[in-house]
Amino acid sequence: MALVTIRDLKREYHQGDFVVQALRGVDLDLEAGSFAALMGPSGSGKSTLLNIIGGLDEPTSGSVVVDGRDLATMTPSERADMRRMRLGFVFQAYNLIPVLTAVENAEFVLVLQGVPPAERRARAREALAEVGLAGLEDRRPNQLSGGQQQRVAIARAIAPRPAIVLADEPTANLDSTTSHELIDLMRSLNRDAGVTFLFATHDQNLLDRVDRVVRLVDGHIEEDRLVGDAVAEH
Amino acid sequence: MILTLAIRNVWRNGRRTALTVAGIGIALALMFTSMAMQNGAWNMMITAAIQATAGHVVVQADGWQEERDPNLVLQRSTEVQQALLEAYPDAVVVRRVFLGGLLSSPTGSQAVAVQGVEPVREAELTLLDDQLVDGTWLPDDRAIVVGQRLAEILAVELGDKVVLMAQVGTEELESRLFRVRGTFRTGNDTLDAFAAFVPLAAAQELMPFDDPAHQVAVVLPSIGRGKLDTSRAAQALAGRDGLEVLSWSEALPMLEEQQRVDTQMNVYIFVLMGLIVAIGVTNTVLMSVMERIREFGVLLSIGMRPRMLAGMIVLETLVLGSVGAVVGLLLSIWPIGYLTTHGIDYGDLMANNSAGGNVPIDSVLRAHADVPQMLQLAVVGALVAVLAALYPARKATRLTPVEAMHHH
Repeated sequence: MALVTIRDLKREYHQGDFVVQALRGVDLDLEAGSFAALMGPSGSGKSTLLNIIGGLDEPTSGSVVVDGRDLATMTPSERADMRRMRLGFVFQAYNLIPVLTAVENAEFVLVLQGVPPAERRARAREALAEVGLAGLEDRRPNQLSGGQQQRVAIARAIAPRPAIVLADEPTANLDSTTSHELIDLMRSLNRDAGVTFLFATHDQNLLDRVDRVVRLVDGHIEEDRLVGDAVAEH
Repeated sequence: MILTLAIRNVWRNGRRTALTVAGIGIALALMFTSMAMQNGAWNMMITAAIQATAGHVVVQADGWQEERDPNLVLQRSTEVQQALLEAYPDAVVVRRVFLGGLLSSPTGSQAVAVQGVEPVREAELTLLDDQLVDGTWLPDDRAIVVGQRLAEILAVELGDKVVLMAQVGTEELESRLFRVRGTFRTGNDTLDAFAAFVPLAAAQELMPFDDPAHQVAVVLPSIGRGKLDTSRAAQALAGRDGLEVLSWSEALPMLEEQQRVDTQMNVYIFVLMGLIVAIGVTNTVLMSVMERIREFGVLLSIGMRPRMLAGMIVLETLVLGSVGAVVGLLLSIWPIGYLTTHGIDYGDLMANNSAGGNVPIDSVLRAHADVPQMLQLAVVGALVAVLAALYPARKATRLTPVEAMHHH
C-alpha cells in the first residue's frame, strides 16, 4: 500500500467574492522510499498540495490518506500529533528556533514526542552527524551559515525517523555549491537510510536528481513521470 | 527544554525585558515600602492608643462605652484591678478616671479634659512623661500636668496654683486646688491645649462614689494587634454586675474602622498600580508574540500543540513576572531598612493629625516590614503578569500553521 494516497483532491480559497481553485481534482500515489518532486509555476498548487499532505491545510473535498490514516477525518490536534509523530518538515527559510543550539533544535521534535532526555540527545547528535555537522552541536543558528542551518533543519526533520520528509523549496535560499551538497546529502539519506522525501521545488539541480517529477499546472497534474535512474530501474 | 526555551525567549530582547522587569520591580518596591510605612504607622498609633486611652483588655461600667457619661463608674475599682492583676500577672493594669471640667488660674480659665491616672503605673505606659518640656510627672497628690499651650492660655508656670471644677454625680460643682508640676508638648494641638493629668486619688475626691474609676485597663507586654481573647478577664470578674469587658478593638472602634478604611484605600491603589503594570506587561508580551508569529507557525508545523504553545507564552511571562518580583523585593530592602532604623520625623506635621485618636505619639514614624505579606504580594505580582499573558497566549492558539508561516 502506498505511503500517500490522494483521490480527487480539491482545495478552494475564498478571497472576497472570488473563489480561487488551488487544486482541482488531484490523484497521486507515493510509495515509501520515494525521492519525488512536485514542480510547477508559482500558484500551480504545489505548496498547497504539500501542506495538505502535511496536515497543515485542509482539503475542500477528496481524500488524503497518509501512512494509513485519512487526514480528512482528523481534528486539528490529531493532525498536530500526526505531524509530530510521523512527518518531518524542511522549509525554505530554514526556520530554526533562534534561541536554541543546533543540537537542541535537532532534539526539539523528540522533546515534543516525550522521548527521554538521554535518548533524545543521543539521537539528535546522531542526526547532526548524519548531516555532517558533528562538532557544531552547540552553535546557535546565527553562528551557522545558511547551508549549515538547512542541514540542522534536515537533522531536525529526520531525528524522529518520520515516515516522510516534506520539503518546501529547501534549496531556494542557497548558492549552487551549497545547494548541490545539500541535495547529495538528502539523496544519500534516501538511498542509505531509506528516508522518503517529497519536495516542492523550482530548482533544476534538485529536479535533475529526483526519481519522479510531478508537474502541476493550474491546480491539476499535467505530467507525472519517472526520471533518471528510476526510469532504468522501472 | 520548554522552560529553557521560555527563559531564553524572555532574554531575547534584553532591553525590552529589562525595562519590563524594572517596571514590575519598581512598582512592587513602591508597594512594599508604602505597606511597611503604613504598618509602622498603624503599629505606632494602635500601640499608643491602646496604652494611653485603653488597653488590650478594657473593663468599664456597663454603658460607658456608648454614653461616656461620667456618672457611669466602676465602684470599688481597686478590687477589679486586683482581680485583673491575678488573671494577667505579666500585664500592667491601670485605673483611669475621665472628667470634663473647667481649669482656672488667676488670669483665665479653659474647658479641659482631665484624666485621673495612677502616676507610677501610668508612667510605664504613657509617652507623656517623656514628652514633658518642663517639670516632673505627677510627683504628689496635688500635682497637675498640663499641655504647654494650656499653660500659655492660663498664663501659668511650674508651681502656680490652678483650680479644677467638675460636676459628677450631684447637683453640686466640686472644685479642687492643684499645683502645676509639669507641662508637655506632644505636637497634637488638641492634646496640648485641652488635656490635663492629675493623680487618680485626687480625681476620685471630686466624685461622690466608692473608689471610682471609669476604666480599668490591662496592657499586655507583647503588643498584639490581632483579635484578643478577653475570656480570662471575664472569668476573673464573674459575679460582678454592671461592668463590661471589651477588647481594644471594641474599646477603640474608630481606630479599627479607620485602619480598615485605610487598608481598603491601599487595596484600591495597589489594584490600580497592578493594572498599569499589567497593561505594560501585556504590551511587552503581545509585541514579543507578534514578532514571533512565523516562528510559532514553525513550532505548530513540526507538531507542537496550540495549548503547549500558549503554555510556553504564559511560562515566559511567569519567568518575567518572577524576576520582576525578586527585583521588587531586592529594591525594597534598602528603603525599608532605612525607614525601619531611622524613620521619618514628622514633627510639626503631626499637629493637626488626629488619625489615631487624640493620644500622644512619637513624632518619628518607622517602617515595619511584614515579610509574609510582602511575599504574598510578590506572588500576586507574578500572577498578575501571568494574567496579562493570557490574551496574547490566546491569540497564539488561534494561529493556523500555514497562515502563521506566511505572516510578515
